[in-house]
Amino acid sequence: MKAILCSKCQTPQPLELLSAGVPFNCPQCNSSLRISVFPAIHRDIGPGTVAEKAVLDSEATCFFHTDKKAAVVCDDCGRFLCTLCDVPIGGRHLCPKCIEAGCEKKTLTALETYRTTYPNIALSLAFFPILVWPFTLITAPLTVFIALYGWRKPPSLTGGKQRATLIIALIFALLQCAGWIAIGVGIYVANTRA
Amino acid sequence: MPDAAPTYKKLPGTGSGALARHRLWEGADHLLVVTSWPTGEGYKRFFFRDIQAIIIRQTSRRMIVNIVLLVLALLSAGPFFISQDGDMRIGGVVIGSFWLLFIIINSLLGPTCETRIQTAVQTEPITSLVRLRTALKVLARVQPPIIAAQAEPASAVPQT
Repeated sequence: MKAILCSKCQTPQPLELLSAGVPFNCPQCNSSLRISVFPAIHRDIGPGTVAEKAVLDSEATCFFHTDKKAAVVCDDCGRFLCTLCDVPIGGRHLCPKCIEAGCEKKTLTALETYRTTYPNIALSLAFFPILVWPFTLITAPLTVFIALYGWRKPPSLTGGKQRATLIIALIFALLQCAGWIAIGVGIYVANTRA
Repeated sequence: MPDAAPTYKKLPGTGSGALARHRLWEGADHLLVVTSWPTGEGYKRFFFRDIQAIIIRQTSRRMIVNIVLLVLALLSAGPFFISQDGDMRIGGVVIGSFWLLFIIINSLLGPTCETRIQTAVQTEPITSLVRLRTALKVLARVQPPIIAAQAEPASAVPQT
């Protein structure tokens, strides 16, 4: 069983205090602690599975290890896999190649650790440069580009109003563009009259 | 083939950094810590079946913040009270009230804490749970699914 340490002084906490499930003070630093312990604390990380060796010629073998017996089929590409190559993710069995491809193409949401939020970028670019308004000459077309580019990109993993935010940013950026065009036309007309 | 997008429920509590915002979400079989920056979001997953302990330690941050705010209130409003002019004193009261409002809000939000999730391989701080009341609320909400996930026989537990 792994010890539970006080987050301040890193002292292992006595088990009898943990099992009580009530607030207590760390015997070392006197910090007030509330620790909820779950059954997983008693579970050891077991050894990994060992792939079974193929004995007969008629036995299906793993695509990656030709001497190992196939145990499952990859749910994505259909390759035969031994227990070593089988990676269960989100209820599916995948092979290392499909996982690699899924990470590259960002099709495996269960493994994603980062997503670019285009709506936030577009909205920030549409509004903040107004504080230093001449910058909008550059940021307004940039916002339009980012909003259009991010339109079909996957939204935040937790949901959110991606399209609505992009539309607001787009409208605001287009208004800024229109304003700059109006200024340009005004200057041109004034110069031609003069 | 892309996998189905998971659905998440927002859990109470928000933590803020210099440019980042932290939130905790509850998924079907895991907790998701989302760190939002102006350009993107970072994700960390804690599967219910792997969580060994949730450690909440009460901190004295609320008191420290209140002391800092009080010092700021005295520094900004104090000079107005040195003057004998009534209008100046009213100005001092207005500025002092501004800081006092923050002290009241900070006090009403309740005691502060530091929350950590322990698994077999790591102990990670959950920066969105900085108020004891919120942390206990979240704990009460996530405890049943964690216990249910860990009660399942090992063979039925999907591995990720």
